[in-house]
Amino acid sequence: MFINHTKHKAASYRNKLCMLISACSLLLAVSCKTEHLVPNAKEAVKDINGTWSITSATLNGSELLSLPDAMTHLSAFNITFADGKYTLSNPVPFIVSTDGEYVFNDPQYPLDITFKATGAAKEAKSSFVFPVVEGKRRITLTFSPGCDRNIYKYTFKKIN
Amino acid sequence: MKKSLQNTRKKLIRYVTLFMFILLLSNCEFVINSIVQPKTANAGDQITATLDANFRVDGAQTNRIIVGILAPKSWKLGQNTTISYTSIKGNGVLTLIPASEVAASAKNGENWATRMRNKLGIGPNYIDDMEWVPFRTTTSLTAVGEDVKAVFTIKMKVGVDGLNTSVKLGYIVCNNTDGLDDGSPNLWPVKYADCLEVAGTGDLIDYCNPALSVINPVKSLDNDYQSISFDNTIIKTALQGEQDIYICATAHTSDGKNITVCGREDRSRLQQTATNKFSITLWPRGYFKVDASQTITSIDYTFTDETGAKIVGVGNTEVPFVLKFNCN
Repeated sequence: MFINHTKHKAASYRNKLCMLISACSLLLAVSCKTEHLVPNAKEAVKDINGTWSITSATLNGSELLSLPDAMTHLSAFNITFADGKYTLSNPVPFIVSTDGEYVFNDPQYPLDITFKATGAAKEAKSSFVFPVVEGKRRITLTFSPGCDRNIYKYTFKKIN
Repeated sequence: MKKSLQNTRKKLIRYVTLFMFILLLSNCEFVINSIVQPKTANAGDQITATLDANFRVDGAQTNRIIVGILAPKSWKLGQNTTISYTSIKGNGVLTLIPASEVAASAKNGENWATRMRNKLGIGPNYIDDMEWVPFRTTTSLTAVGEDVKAVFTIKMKVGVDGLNTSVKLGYIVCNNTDGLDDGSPNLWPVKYADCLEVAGTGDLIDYCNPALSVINPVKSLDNDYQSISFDNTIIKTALQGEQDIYICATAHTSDGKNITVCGREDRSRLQQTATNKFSITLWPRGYFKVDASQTITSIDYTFTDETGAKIVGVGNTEVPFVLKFNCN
């Protein structure tokens, strides 16, 4: 009687163990299911086509727009980008002084932009930042058109 | 009665302890005791400045110590300076803090150099062509409620631009946790040395004394914006009391041409920046309308009144000031 009872108890434990292993296996199997949450999309190429004018300008950290425009003439300056080419209107101190071509280091994730003025011997490279301000894109360029310790930072907004 | 006395004594002890604790907390202070620095040097020389400071701390503090130095930008102090220190907490060296590191207590994400510049400007100097260069100890130092004295030995090459210069160098100390905290200026003492005269070549760039006319940036090319100021408060000039002041300038180009703009027109009129202080900012290439092939090498200029009869030049004479375009 005692032996039978022990046997019965052992069988009961085995059953419980089997059920536990099955449950764990089921959980493991379920947990292996992969969810495809990230859409398989490519980062867009940055489009800067259009005409841009200055919205902020500093020289060595000092604000230039607070000076009279009659001195700086910054308000009239603009740059038009069109499919790899750029044109300048009403020049001011800038990374290039004549029209030409531009190229990004990486069209999808640009960190810098290189300007090549037509006929110029050298290319000129500026850091490129493309933030969104009040729902609209801005372009911020940092460069030195004169002495390399004079750092200019111009931020542009698109005007058309 | 006895119990009441005991209670009063207990309360007294508690309040006195609390008061002492508050006193201790508000007692944190750094002090620059002295700056010992030579008064003269030759351009390109290495000079040694000794900064003696005390760091009075409460509780347990573990921090890196930061030393900032104000100097002309063209000296490139970040590349030409080594700093070591001795203290009862050990000896060591300081290294340049990378520009990518945001300063402690900087609300707009400024780096250490910009934070120091925003809080301290150019100190007692007169030409705004200077930079704060931040260094910090390579290891953290721990102090527990004590007053730690440290001596920093700063070896720096001065006047690497080779120019005649007189300047008041500035020194600041702080720690890397509090930085230049707005609410606790006692944790970032600053001291300026006496005028250091550096003998080099060319016209003296005098940061120490006010000048009739100052240019900014000091080093520029014709494709840079150039600010030219006129301070009519230093000495009695022919233009005393005048409010309408104009610049009369001649540009000299690399192909030997002289281009003069001397009309009393709006673009030549100086803007008043303070009482009897004036300034004009111009882009030389645009102002003198030079061709793409031309380069302006220098500009001679004087200040005049509306009639052009009253003229002020260098040293309060009618001899023009000279602005040379170069980067070195």
